[in-house]
Amino acid sequence: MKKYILILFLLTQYLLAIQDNTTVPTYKKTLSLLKTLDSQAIIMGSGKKDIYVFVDPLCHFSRKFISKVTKNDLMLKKYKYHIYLYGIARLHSQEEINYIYDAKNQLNVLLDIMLNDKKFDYLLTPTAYNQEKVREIKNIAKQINVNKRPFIVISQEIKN
Amino acid sequence: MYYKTPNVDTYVANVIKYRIPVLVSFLTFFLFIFFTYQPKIISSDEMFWLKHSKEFKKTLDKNYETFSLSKLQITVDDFNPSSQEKLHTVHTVLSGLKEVEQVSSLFSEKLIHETKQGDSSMVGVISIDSLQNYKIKNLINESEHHNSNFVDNDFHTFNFYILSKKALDLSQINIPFKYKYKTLSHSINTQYYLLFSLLLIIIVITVFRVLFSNYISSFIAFFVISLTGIITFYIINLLTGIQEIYVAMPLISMSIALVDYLFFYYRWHVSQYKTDTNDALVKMLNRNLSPAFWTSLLTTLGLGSLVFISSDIVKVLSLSVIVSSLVAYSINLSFLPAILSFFQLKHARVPFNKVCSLFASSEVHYSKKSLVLFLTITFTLMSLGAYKIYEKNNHFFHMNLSDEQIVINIPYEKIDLSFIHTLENFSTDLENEFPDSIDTISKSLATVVNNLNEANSQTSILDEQALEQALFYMDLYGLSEDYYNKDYVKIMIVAEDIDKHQFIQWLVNYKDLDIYFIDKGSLLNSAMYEKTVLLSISLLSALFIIGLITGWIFRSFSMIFVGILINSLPIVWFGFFVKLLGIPLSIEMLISMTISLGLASDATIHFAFKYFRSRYFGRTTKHSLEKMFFYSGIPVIFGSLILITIFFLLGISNIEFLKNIGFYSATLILLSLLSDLFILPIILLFLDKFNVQGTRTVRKHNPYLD
Repeated sequence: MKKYILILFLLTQYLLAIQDNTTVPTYKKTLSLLKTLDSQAIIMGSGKKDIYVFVDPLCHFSRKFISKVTKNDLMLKKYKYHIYLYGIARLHSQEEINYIYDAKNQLNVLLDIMLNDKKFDYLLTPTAYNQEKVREIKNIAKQINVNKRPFIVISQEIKN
Repeated sequence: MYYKTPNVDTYVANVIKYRIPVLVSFLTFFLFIFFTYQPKIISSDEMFWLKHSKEFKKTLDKNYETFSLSKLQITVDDFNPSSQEKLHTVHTVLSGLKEVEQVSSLFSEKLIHETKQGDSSMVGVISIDSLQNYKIKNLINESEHHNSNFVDNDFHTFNFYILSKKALDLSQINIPFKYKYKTLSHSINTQYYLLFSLLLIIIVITVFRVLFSNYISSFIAFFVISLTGIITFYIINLLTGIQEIYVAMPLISMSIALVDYLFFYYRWHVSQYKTDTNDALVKMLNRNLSPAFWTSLLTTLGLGSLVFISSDIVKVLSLSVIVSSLVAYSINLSFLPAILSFFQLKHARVPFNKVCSLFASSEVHYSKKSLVLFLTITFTLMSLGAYKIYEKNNHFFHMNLSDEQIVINIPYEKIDLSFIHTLENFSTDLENEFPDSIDTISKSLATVVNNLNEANSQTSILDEQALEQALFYMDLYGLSEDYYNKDYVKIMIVAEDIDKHQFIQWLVNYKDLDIYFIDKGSLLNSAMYEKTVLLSISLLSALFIIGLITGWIFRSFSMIFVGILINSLPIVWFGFFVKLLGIPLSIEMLISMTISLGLASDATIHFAFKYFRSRYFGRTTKHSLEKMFFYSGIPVIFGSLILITIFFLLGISNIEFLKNIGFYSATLILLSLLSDLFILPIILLFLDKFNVQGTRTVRKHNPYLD
């Protein structure tokens, strides 16, 4: 009997330990991590409230999200979207992500791909800069536990 | 006293002598008022009620717009894709109307959910109406909180709650189904006023033609009623400074003027049979001078205390009764003899002698046991009613309503977690207070925020970030404007089978939130509740004062009880019946009771005067009853019948407030008539001291007898 209790205790400790590893950072920590990615963001909208959004350009719901926001003037005026491209493994969107980050006007290409389903020549080899950018985003995304797309974090601050 | 006959010969001679100046004076006064006095004939009495309302002032001070809340109930035979499309169109058309602020129905309901594909997901909001017909049925049937306010279980009845700047005229909208439209509007249009006046004229002419076989009686009646009305309103304006003529005022004035006029005219009419015109005028005055004076005094002193209550509505209602009574008395003493002196009747006979005999002979042998039993029951009911009113027992003022909606605004500085939790606590408190009536608040920011958070797999407990996301999704799906704006949140509460008075009082007294009513229904309800309690207490006191004065008029202790009993009898039995039917005491009932009280006190005095007078001069009980029925009963019967018909016509109007006053008044006047004909004579017989002594003989011949 004692043996079983001990096993149960150890299992519980193990599970709790796993849970601790995946604990979402606090809101403040999340926001400070996201601020380090500011230079990597594709900016959309001119509102006073910052929204950080992780999307996959081929993800159905990320596309729906971008579509709904771009069709609504109020949403573009009220919020400022910091868009980060973070692929979902099963969708194999790495080429699209590289292509967008490589583009001169990243937002336009992003919208072309996500809203108009426009196909480009994706055979470009990612530049080292882009690879670094994607890595950085991935690193932060893992830290803040981005487990779905679109994944949004809204700043509580309202800029003047 | 009833046995004294005032000598009015000189007075009549003077009136006849100066009849032209008398009539010209009245005409001049009438024209003077007509051109100088500009009353505000209010087509809606909402503002009248709301004038001194604390809640209304609070809402106005906050610059919140108030709205009318109405309910459109559509019945469909079968809820299929075709009828769904048509109902959707009705919702769209209603929402698009300029005056409409918001329409809540099944077709405005949103379904909040999250759709997911692996690690890709998003909160979605879809309109229930966009679902296929069978899916809507399944969704609603399976829903934990089946919102029966919008649709019944069989999908036959659909409710549309409309918040609009003013009551809507739905005749302009194509609604391809059977429907009912319930609005709180008290507005009466000119067309309705005209139609009602026309009907009134036709009824008065017809009844007077049947009774008196002439037209002149009805034409003079119109003069007397119009004069009484206009002078009454002018005096009320002078006394109070209130310029508005509240919709019930002309009804009160007309009722009192008509019945008073009938007593005078009728006596003049029947007195022509034996004597000449001048003698008929003398009889008209010396027989009515005292009882009419006492009835006016009775009304003045009985309802006089109500005038000092600081409420415009109570003040104008009581003043309408008092001033109409005094003005009608003055007109019947001056204008009426002056104008009647120009006429002589060829057919003065009134064919109701046999009816009066029948009444008298059937009532003269009454059963004392039955009378005592009836009086005991009546006094028990009256005491119970009085106790409940003085206790302000909420159950007595119950106003059970089903599918009732209330819209409130709650101001905020910041929508944060603390505010959302306060709203949640408010919902919980409300549901705990009214567990059988409120399942859930149909539209509240806290509810929608929680629903969005539940559907959002990115968040779990409602923290600041989860709240931000919920508010973001509200913006994204266009839900925000239905729930809040930059200053306040709007909450819509739907209640099933609730006592609205109690509900509103609870909201008014709720401490944790600053609540503002924005629907006129709730504001009116709150204002009317205060006045209902006040008016009912005042009316009850008036009954006792009237009783005391009746006792004093007849110098009889027993007559105190007669005064109280006969005046309260219709009210008590009416109250008993409405309580049995589950209808709550309302301000419309109290207005009707005020009218009934004004009329019943008149009848009591006239009946008792005539009966005791005849008995004093040695008539037998049966003969005295015959005389009483003939000289006082006939005017009361015909006056009441006219008023019952008029109020009944008012009762079939489509304006809820007038409809209620109409039906309640018609019923109360009928009960009053029945008590005058069947109870009052028996009580007079019961109290008849002459009968006990049995020795009184015919007094010396009195030339004024009859």
